[in-house]
Amino acid sequence: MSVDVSGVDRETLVRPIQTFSKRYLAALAVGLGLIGVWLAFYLQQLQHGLIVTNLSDWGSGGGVPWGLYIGAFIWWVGIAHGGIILSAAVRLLGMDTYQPVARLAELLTIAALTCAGLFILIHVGRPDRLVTSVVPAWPTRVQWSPLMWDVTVITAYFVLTATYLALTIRYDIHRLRDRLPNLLDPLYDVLMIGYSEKEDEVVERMVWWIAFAIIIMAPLLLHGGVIPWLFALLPSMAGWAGGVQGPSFLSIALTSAVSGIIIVAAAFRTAYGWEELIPDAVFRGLSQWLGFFSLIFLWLQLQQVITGIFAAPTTLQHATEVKIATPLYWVAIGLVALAMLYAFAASLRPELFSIRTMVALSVGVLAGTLAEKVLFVVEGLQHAHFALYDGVPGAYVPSPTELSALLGTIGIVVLFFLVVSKVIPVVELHAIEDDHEEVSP
Amino acid sequence: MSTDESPPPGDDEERYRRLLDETEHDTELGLEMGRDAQRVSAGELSELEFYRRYHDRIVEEFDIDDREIDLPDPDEAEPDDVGFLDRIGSALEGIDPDGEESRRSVMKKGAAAAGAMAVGTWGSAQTAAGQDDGHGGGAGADEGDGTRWGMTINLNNCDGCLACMVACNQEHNLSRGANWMYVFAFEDEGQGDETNFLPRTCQHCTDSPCTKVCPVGARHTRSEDGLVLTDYDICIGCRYCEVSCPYGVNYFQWGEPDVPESEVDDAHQIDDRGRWVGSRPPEGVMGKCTFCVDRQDGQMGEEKIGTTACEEACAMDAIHFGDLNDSESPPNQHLREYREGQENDLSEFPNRKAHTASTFKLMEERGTEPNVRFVGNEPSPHAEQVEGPVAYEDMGLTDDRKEVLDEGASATQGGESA
Amino acid sequence: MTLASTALAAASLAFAAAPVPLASSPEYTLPFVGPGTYLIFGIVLAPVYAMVAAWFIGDPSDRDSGLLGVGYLAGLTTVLWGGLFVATLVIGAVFF
Repeated sequence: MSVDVSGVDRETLVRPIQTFSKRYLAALAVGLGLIGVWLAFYLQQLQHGLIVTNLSDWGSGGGVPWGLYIGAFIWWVGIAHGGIILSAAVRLLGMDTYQPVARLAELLTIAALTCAGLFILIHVGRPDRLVTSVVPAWPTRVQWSPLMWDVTVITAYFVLTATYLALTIRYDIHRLRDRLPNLLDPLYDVLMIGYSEKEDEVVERMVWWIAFAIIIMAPLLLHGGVIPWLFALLPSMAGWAGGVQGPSFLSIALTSAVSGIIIVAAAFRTAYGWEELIPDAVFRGLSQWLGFFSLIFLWLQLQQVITGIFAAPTTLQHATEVKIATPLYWVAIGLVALAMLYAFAASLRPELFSIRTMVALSVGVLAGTLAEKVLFVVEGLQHAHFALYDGVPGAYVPSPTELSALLGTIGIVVLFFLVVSKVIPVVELHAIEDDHEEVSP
Repeated sequence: MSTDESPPPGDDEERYRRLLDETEHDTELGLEMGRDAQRVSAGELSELEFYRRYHDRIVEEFDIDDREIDLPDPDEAEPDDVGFLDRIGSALEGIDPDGEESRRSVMKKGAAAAGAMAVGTWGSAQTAAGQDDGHGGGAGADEGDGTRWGMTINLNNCDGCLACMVACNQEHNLSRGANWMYVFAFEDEGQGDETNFLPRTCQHCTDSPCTKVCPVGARHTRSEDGLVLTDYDICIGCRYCEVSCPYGVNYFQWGEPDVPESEVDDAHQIDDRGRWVGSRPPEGVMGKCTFCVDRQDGQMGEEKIGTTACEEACAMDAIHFGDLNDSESPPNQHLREYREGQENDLSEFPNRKAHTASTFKLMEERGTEPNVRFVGNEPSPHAEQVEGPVAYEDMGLTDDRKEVLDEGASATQGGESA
Repeated sequence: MTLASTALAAASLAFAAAPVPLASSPEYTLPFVGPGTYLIFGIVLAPVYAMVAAWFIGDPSDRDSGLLGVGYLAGLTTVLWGGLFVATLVIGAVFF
């Protein structure tokens, strides 16, 4: 399946930069508002401590020391995977269909990783020590602490993705400079340092290698590796250990990532009348991928449930029984299953497909994956091997402070896209101009 | 599960003999060492004695070059210096918190790997055999001690009066619900309505998961005596130690501590290395039982060394604290006396254990090597917590910390907390 | 029979008795440094090494572009942690 959008002109491509609408302002207000709500709550947390959350000590305290903050952290890292998978698919596998949304996806990676990092910052009790304690301890603790592995790999992932973007953007800025705002010239000068058209070929190969590095590192070794390893603490929590967690985490990441891209791409298409630039076929393709990833997600959940309840070790069986007795878990599974069924139905009968429905289902998938991740963290902690504590089961419901952080990070992603789309073209020039021909300004 | 390992059954010994016979080395030495290694792990033989007993024969047999891993010259070493063994342990564990020590450990580990073999054998045999591995050395060389603080808690003596919890809370200025010492009352399968008790401190594990996972090295094992402590100046409050601990002994300081900083003496807080590890933690960092580190450092007077607040408060003689490496220490003495009081009849079956006393360590199968031993029956997976004869509230204690925290949340947030 | 296999034999003899500790067990102990170092720098970041190598080796490649890429990697890492450092200083100064 290939799509030809080469008929689209450059004016269309830079439309977000050159237009300014009330809708834009409204979106900006929403984004800033969400961030404001979160900041107000976060200041409270800094002032009074984490006591303003509904987190508590497990054990005799009957609570959970990790909750929504950690669940949302994993969720955002999962969403972040979308960008690079799409870009890599375009670059490594020649899946040109998705070229029009490749950069949007890369930007989503950067925004989502920022949010993930932010959740670590607000999760710790002493954020003022994040750098002063972590950096000096890094050389020795990276040898042992899965949390330090995590910090290391997330940093690497972020830097690689940003480098990828910084290198690919040069080609576009050079050719579209006359259409970009003069006000930002100093910024473009910095971005374009040392540029000559001779580098294009070399840079193209460099970014191919970045895509190669990230496609192996990020999905397989970060979300399918370091993060599940972080939870695989055999001495403690029955529901967390096991090799299936890696693939399972990854399947959730991919499912959320594709959903995220569908939503962002649909938003830009609607806002800037980009029906030509991001055609239906892109969304049809993405929804098929979503269906496929959802299938894998559901399959891995089935694996965990079956091995967890049928003649399983006592503590694991207990943890699994609680999991499948939790209504929210089935809501999460249902939301993902719904998206999968729709995606498959629409590929069998194309007339069923509508972008609007797909966006709604993608929002559902994101809600489902978030719920699943939070449940994983919370229920893992509530059902430890040390069964004596079963006498003090606590309930955990995220506090307004914690929920506000979720809104705040969504606001940050909105704000990020609003700002970035005014500065650089969010669709690669390659999408509309196939070859690297010399361009006259 | 019992702490005393029985000797390997006959066919095992035969297997090892064959294994060792295939080597060009002394089979008898290997077998004897193996047997004694088990005795070390059963606490029947001190590590030092184990070292002394075989050192010369090992050197003779394997011709070890000590210096290759920077071992102290055996002639120079103090007779009671087992520090170097422990240092190998730290090298293997690699998480010695003391900067210099840690670099040395890493270097040693390199040498140990390169040289491997003879020394590696020695080191690993020690590591695996002695329960006291991974720490206890370091400064030990100068101070001539190989202390490993630990406890023997006799559950048969505990009547659930909660005096230990009260004493602990007071001594360490703990916030409500942060029960560093926590007494479970529970009923177990097949025991009818009988209520059992289990006082739970931090287990100060030799192979502690919490120290491994700490991203900043705040949670660490103090090399001089094996205490597992939290450096309140470094902790970032990520709570990974709490999540990794199988025993649920960690209590985070979610809000402002009940007792303000100004009311806590430095002597209780700063240990002999100058690190802030004692008394209740400040806001935003992790706390847990310290085995009264201030007492062990002599900050509360010489006579308090080797005691804990909970032990002192226990009128039932259930808690026995002391140096597990010292065969005459209260925990070892109590265990010995208790076992001697329950000798087994070996007349007909000489292979039986020498005594019938039941001892266990909590979730020992998880490999954490706790330094708290219990005498009595281990709670089964079906044990259930019940209300004890003395209610926590009656002693001014808070059982469920969540209540306090929810209160705090509503106080600071105008009651909007769910 | 080598010394190493003797070592193994003696060690296994000792292990038969003692409970095997979590990660300090010699079976899982790696030489020189802890397991994380091997994991992160040996396995997880291996594709990154391949990437950087490919920037300088192979065709088409040039030194300046390669250095630009390395500059981005180093610069962004610095900016990221530098920014966080400033943020934590502010939080520390205002709230703790």
